[in-house]
Amino acid sequence: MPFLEAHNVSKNFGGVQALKDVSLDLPESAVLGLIGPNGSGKSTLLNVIAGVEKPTSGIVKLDGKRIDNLRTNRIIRYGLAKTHQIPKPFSNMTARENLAVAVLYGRRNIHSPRFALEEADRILSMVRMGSRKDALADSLTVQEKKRLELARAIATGASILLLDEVFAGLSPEELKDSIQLFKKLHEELHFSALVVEHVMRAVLSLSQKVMVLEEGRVIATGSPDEIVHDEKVIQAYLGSKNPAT
Amino acid sequence: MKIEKPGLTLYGLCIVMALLASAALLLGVAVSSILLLLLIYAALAYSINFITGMMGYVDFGHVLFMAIGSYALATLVSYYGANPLLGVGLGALLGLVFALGIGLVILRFRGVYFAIATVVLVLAAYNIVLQFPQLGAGGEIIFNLTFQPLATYFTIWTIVLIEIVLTYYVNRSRIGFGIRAIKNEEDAASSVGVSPRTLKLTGYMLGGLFGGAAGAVYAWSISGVTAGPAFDFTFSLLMLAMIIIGGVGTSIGPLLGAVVVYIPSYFLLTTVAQAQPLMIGLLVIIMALFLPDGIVGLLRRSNQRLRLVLE
Repeated sequence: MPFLEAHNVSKNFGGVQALKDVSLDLPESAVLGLIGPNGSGKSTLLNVIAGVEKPTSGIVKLDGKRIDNLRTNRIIRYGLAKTHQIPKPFSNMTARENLAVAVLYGRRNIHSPRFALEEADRILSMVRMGSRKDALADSLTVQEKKRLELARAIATGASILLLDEVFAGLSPEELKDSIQLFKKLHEELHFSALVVEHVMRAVLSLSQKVMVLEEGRVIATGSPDEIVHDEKVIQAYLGSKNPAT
Repeated sequence: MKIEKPGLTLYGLCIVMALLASAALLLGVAVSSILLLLLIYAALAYSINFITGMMGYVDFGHVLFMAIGSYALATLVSYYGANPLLGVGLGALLGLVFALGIGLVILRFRGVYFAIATVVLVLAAYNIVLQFPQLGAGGEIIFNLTFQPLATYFTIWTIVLIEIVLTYYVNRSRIGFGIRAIKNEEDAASSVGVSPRTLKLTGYMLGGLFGGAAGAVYAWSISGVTAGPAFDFTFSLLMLAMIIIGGVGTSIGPLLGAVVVYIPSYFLLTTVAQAQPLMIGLLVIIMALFLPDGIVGLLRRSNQRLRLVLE
């Protein structure tokens, strides 16, 4: 029984069809990579699943219940959280306050700010940002902001994470570090994740399965190994091997 | 919900309030009439603080709630001979109800669009009042009450005290975290489960409630209401100036701002009245440029210990 499922999801923006009949399954504690050229609809798909956008047609279900007509802040209660491609921290709040908001209003619906702050500290040390807990989010580095974005999604108590390019824009060292951290977190928390990523090294080493989008359509699904050898995928990324055909 | 132990900020504010109460009791009518207007200013500053200070929604039309409160009290007292306290209650209630109705619509706007909508509302309300003979039809409603300075004084004193305690605990509570998140990044707030619609409406309604109450006491203190001055844009600007100077969103800021704006203006009024708006305007510009967190922010930055204590 798949945990998160989408059936024939389409999304139009005016005359532009951003998603065409996209379906996917995300079983419990699985990691599904989502790749594709710029403008292929990856972020739109995450937005539709997370309730930021409503699908034009199609169904999204979480544990068998439809969520495609719910708003983001309701979907959080079902245990699904999304990070933002460009980090959107609460700039004038400290790192721990950022997470405390997520603990208070997330799935667990906590009412004590003091408990939420303790919980926030725990999660911050889990993502190795314990020493930065009292820093204003505004003063964090790009890498730290990305990590805060991930930590805040975890702090909502979500068991499904939609991660929009959390590994982008990092130096090779930072990237290695982040991949290792993600693996550790996944082992400890057993969340399932839908990972949108341009950084191939990250997607291929994290995902059990990879889905490729091109112009809003799924053109391939398979193991990372299958995907890198798939004709259609190579064509989508690099163009045809043989222009004559 | 468990109430957290109050910090030094709240104790300090309570001491100031105790001093204000004893000053009125001991020093007589002359002093209490000066302090009365200060407290009305403070009540207005705390009321707009719930909207602009905490949520970051700039409300240029907050005078609307003040006017609603003024008309509620004036009507009740002059036509029905009711106890002015009842008028204050009605002012608060109408402020709340109007805030609910208006908030449902205009809180859908953000940023400058919200600000413009608030200005338009005041213009609309003013023109509506002009149409009703019962509301003075643009003239005035005046009433004669026996002079009771202490009753007026302690009514507004109580309102300010309630506002202080409420501001303090809202800031520390779950709701406070949610409202700050909205102020920082509204979309990100809903992406972690905050419901901006509900929380913004809550803040706006608190602003309406206390704005209405303060406006009612103001009408009580000047024994009436006149259409033009009741909707005077200057009041909105003064309220904004007070929280910007004091420190937006904080529990101390509105009171500090009220003192800074009111006391000099009281003395200037007797010498160079025209200089008052000019000076306040200049002060706000300087604060906005160099001290966006107001006096509270300045104090916090100047001393590590103050940073932890001032709220």
